[in-house]
This record gives sequence, C-alpha cells and structure tokens, in this order.
Amino acid sequence: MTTLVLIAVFYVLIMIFARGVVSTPESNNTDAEACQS
Amino acid sequence: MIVGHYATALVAHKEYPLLPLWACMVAAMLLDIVMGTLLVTGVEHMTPANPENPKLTEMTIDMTYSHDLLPVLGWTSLGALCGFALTRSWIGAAWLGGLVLFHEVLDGFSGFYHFIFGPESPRIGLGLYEIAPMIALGIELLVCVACAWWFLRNTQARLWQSAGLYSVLVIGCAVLLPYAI
Repeated sequence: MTTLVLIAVFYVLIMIFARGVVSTPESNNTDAEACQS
Repeated sequence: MIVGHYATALVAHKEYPLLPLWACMVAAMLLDIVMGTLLVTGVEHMTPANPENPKLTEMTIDMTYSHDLLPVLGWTSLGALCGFALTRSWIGAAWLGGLVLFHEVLDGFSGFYHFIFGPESPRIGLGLYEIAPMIALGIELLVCVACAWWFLRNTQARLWQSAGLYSVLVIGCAVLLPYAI
C-alpha cells in the first residue's frame, strides 16, 4: 500500500509543476509544430 | 527507483507532445503500479528482514509478474497499444511502449535484481538496491536532474515551476534514503 501511496503522491506533485510548464506559450508552440509534422 | 521513472515521462512528453502527459506518466510507472497492486493482493511480496527497521539490502522480494523480463514485454505491448489508441500513430505507440520498457532498463541500473521469468531463471540488472543502495539513489538523482533539465529547457517556465519540479524530484529520491542508509 505504501508503494501505491508514494506513486500517487508524486504523480500529483509532478503534474502540478509539469503541467504548468507545458502550458507556457513557448511549449504550446512546440506542441503546434509537432502537430503539423 | 520511483520518481526517476516519472522524470523519463517528462522527456517523452517534451519530445512527442501528442502523447498526453498523464499517459506518459502512467506508462513510465506502469510496472510499479502493477507491482503495488499485486503486493496489496498478495500475489507478489516485498518482505523486510526486520520490519521495525526495513532496509533495501535486507528485502526478500518477488516481483515476477510485474518486473521480470517476459511479463514486462507483455506490459510493453499493452503500453504500445494504448499509445496507438491515443495518437493513431506508430510513433506514439513506440514512445509509450518504450517508456514501459525503459522502466525495466532503469531498474537494471537502479533497483532490485530482476529475472527473465521467476527466481529460478537468470537474473538481470546490477541489483544495486541489494548491494549498494546509496549508489542506486545517486543514479536516480542524476536521471531526475537530467530529465528535468531536458524538459525545462527552451520553455518559459517560471522560477516556481522549475524550482518546484526539481524539488519534488529531489525529495522523491530522498524518500528512499532511510531505507538505504
């Protein structure tokens, strides 16, 4: 159970910070370029 | 290795943004999610020699269905199928399947010994959790820092975002310190 709790806690924490980075304007441009290719 | 696997998901999403970040995170951690579930249900086992003071070097482990190589090839195929379903692209399938398989590779450098299929079969990996856990945690920290740097470069990430991400990854490595010392 400890393993699953650790996995869940760090999933949430990393998503909080990483999603914020993904949504920055330059990252969105990168997304758009990837879509075009 | 725990957060080191999540760190690889950041690189995959950065390089192939058509794959959602959540899918990359789940794929990178799939083997440990399976292991955690099988531990709870009693199918797999992780038993410390001294439950009062558990140490990585003194664990008796059985991760046959979650981490041995033959089952991992099956989990990799599942990841690839999900990647194809999400992106309708073989590239997406390769990235998501690759994330699952790379979990096994990283565990080879920073984790317990794994086997081909079952403890009677040849073992794979360096087994650093069992012989040198501090070196294993050092390797995980290096993986985390390298992946976070790759993920954050060429972005307009704010300081709190970069600092927060690095902090979470470092804390994630430190969580295992009491079991390694």
